[in-house]
Parts: sequence; C-alpha cells; structure tokens
Amino acid sequence: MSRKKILLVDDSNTVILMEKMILSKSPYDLIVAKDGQEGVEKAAAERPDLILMDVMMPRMTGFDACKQLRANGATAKIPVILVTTRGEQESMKNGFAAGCNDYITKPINGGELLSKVRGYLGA
Amino acid sequence: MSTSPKRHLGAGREPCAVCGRVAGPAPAIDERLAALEREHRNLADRSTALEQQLAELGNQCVVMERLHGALEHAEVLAAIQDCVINVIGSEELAVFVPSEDGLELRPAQCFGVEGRGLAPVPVGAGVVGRAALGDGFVVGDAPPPPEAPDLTACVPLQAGDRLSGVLAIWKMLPHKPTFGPADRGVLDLLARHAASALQLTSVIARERAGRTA
Repeated sequence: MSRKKILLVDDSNTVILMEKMILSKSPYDLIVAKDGQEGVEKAAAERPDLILMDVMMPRMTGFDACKQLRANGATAKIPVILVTTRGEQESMKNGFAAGCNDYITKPINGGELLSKVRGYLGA
Repeated sequence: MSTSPKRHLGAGREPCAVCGRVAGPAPAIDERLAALEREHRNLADRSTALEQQLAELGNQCVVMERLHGALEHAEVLAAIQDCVINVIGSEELAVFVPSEDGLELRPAQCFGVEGRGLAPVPVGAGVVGRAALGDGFVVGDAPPPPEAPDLTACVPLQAGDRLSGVLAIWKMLPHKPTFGPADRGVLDLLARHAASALQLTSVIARERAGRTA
C-alpha cells in the first residue's frame, strides 16, 4: 500500500522542523513548500493527501492559497489544515471561508497535530 | 489432574444450569480485575507523561538545530525570533546586542514591539540593562518590574562569562496565556545556546573580514 503524502507549507524553518519531527514517527511522505505560491504549485504537481498550511507567508498567504486550491479542480478536494498563531474566532472564520477544513494553533501541540492528521489520513 | 472448568470459577460459584452464566461472589477475580484496572490507569498516566516529555525534548531539539544550523549572525537572530514565536508562543520580542565598547545594548531583532519605541539602553539601566548584568526576569520567579508589567521574560544570552545579548519577551499569544515549565526549559536552552551561536558567528564574521581586508 502506498504511503500517504502530506504537503507542509510554511515560511518558518522552525515550524517545518517541528512538523517533520512529529510526523516522522508515522508512515507519511512529507513534501515542503516555503510560501503560499509554492504550496499551490506543489499541491498541483504532487497531489498530496493532506496539506498543513501556515497563514502569514510571503508572496501568498495561506488564505489566498486555500482559495486557489479550491478553485483548481485537481486540488479542490485535498483537505487543508491551517496552522497559525492566530487563534481568534475571526481568524478561524476567515480560514473556513477560504476553504480550509480544519485549524490548529501554534505553538503546535504534537498530540493534537497527530490526532487531526490521522483523522484525515488514518493511522 | 482434573481439567474441569469449575476449578477456575472460585469457591461458591456455580454456572446456571439453564443459561450457563456464573453468579455468586468471586472475590479473587474481582480483586484481580480491580488491580489490573489500577495498573492500566497507572500505565496510561505514565504513557501520557512520557509522550509529553518526548514532545518537550523534540521542541528542544528543534531549537538546537535552528540555532546551530546558522552560520551568519543575522540568521541566528532570526532563528531566536522564530523559536520564540513558534516554540514558546509569543509574538512580542526583542533581542538586544552589546555595542562594540560593551557599554550599551542595542535592539537588533524585534517582532511585534514597534509601538514600544525600543532604543539603545546603557548596560545596567532598566530591565534590559539589568538583565545584561545577570539580573534577569522570568514570570513566576518574581512580580514583573513596574516599568514593564506585561513582560514575560528578560534574560541574558550568556555563554560562560561572555554576554552575547539580552532576550526580552512580552505578552504571550492570546490562546496561550501561560508561560509554563516546558516553556521555561526552552527559554533556558535558547538563552545558553543562542549565546554561543551568536559568539561563533561573530568570530566567523571577523575571520572573513580579516581575510578580505
């Protein structure tokens, strides 16, 4: 059975390292993009099973990247979990309006992240 | 040796002739079950504690990787900022570095503190200046200084007896208002290793400048 693929989109090397450390214990292939634009391009090219997307990034924010993913038939159905320091209700509403499926706040809690990922991809 | 199943039911327990269910007291089995349940809860608690410990160690590994993976002074400063935001959980921070003559501390890396009007401070003066002399502050150790009531921490970045800077952290993120023991562990690690990373990159920069002069 082929491994599930997760696309990590964040301009922070620290967050990418944290996500890799948490997810490396599970059988997932991990791809990295450093901003929203690259995230949209890699999502179209790699067709990941799940995307973990930061919000505040150069070139293109996570909200805008989400909207572009939803507008492209090839990537419209890929679940997107927004990963952000903004835990306010307003920010979460914006995220869901942009088309994200779920939300996790930074600093990332490893158990919470794994639980959500497994919810979308299975163990 | 008898292999009758009745031997395993305990004294006073007989299966019902109609449905086969066992009634009556079974103190030995009940005690064993209770003991197993206690052991299970104990193991679950220990597993949770170990998972937490593992997560904290993972965060500390990330901090070390970020600090010591940088070869430029500016990259180390950026790594400190990144770690405070994404590992500790504050978007209001500043790193002050000593002037050439060591008499002053200048804000070299700032995030979310534009409204605070940070300026160079003499060593020994104010919260930042006092931290440079070893009189740092971390919330929970003492009440915050009156001139900075929303300060979470102000710690020297020191390796041995060499001061590389001072890290000041103000408010934590709204959804993470508490600065806990795990955050303290990260801050202590950050302070020590940021100091040596900053010193090392300064040495590398001076060496490069010497080679090109």
